[in-house]
Amino acid sequence: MNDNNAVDTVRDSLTTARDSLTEVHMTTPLDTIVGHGRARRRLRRLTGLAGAAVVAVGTVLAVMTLLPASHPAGHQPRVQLAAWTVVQRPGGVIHVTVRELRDPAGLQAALRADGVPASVSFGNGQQTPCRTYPGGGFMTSANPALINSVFPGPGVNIRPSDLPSGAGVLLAFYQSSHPQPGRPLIAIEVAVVQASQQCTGS
Amino acid sequence: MEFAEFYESARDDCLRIVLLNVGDRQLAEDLVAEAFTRAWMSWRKVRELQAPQGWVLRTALNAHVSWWRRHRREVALGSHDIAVPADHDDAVAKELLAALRRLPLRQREVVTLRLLLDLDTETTAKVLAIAPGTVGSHLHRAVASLRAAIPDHDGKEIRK
Repeated sequence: MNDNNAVDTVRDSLTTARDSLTEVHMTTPLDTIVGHGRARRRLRRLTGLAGAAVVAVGTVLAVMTLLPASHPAGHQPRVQLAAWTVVQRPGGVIHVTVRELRDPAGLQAALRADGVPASVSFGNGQQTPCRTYPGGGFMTSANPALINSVFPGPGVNIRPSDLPSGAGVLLAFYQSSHPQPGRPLIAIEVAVVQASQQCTGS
Repeated sequence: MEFAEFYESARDDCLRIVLLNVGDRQLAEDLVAEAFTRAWMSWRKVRELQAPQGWVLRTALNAHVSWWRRHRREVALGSHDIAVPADHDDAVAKELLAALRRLPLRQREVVTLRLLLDLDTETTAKVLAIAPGTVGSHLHRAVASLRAAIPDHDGKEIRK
């Protein structure tokens, strides 16, 4: 059998399989698609993409500072390691930069110490016991744009005081599947989740 | 074309093709929804592409490797449907689809765009941002693997 015949045979078999699925229909309404897209655009703006300074971080990632009053304001690194940095910025914003996918537990602890109940995972295929936060759990998914350009970059900004009561932040960092020049090497997915012992450790 | 029109016309076809690739009804729905969400966000760019449906399919297949999808699948959704309705689970389809799902991602992308979406080599190459010759070599290897999974008329698998 030559190549063309083999291609035709495989094509016929695959299209037959596909055509047998005529009763399978997409159930996600257009409004949901558009709504998620709008929510992500808002989040993208709020998290200060492309190096923009953080302004008010909307209703989801935002105020009611949990930081002790003795914490210094400014840009001094709260915790700085080779792999990642946590910085407190004016207005109670916690800025996270990840350069290497190492020590997620340390990053999670550092964020917790700064008032961010967080679940941090590094790498593809990680599983989590977290549950999305009711009424606002879905924030974004697989959106490499949340981390700007190539590291070291502005990273992620979180205003813990704006988190709803009982909510935490899920941060999943992973190696970009398709690294391209000018694109992030590390991608991040963010969601607001229910804080719990299993998820955020508090 | 407006996004709503595109979504209406392409969503079911995309879902069926992704379902063949991943074998899980709910996961396929999530992946396609994710891909269309990204298409909506980049609609000004996507609408100008020669094959926007190819862009959606590629995005959906790549989203499959996303941690978030696995998370949502296990945490938010809890349970998922069986991949393909039972009446399609004949031996040939099962073997072929299992072989398709075992292919490396790039080969699955090429098979999806060339054979299931019926894009030509040039368009497939553009969607995947690779050379046309690379499309051909991936297709050649993928077809060899898939062909071996299709029994001949005597019920034996064909080995090249």
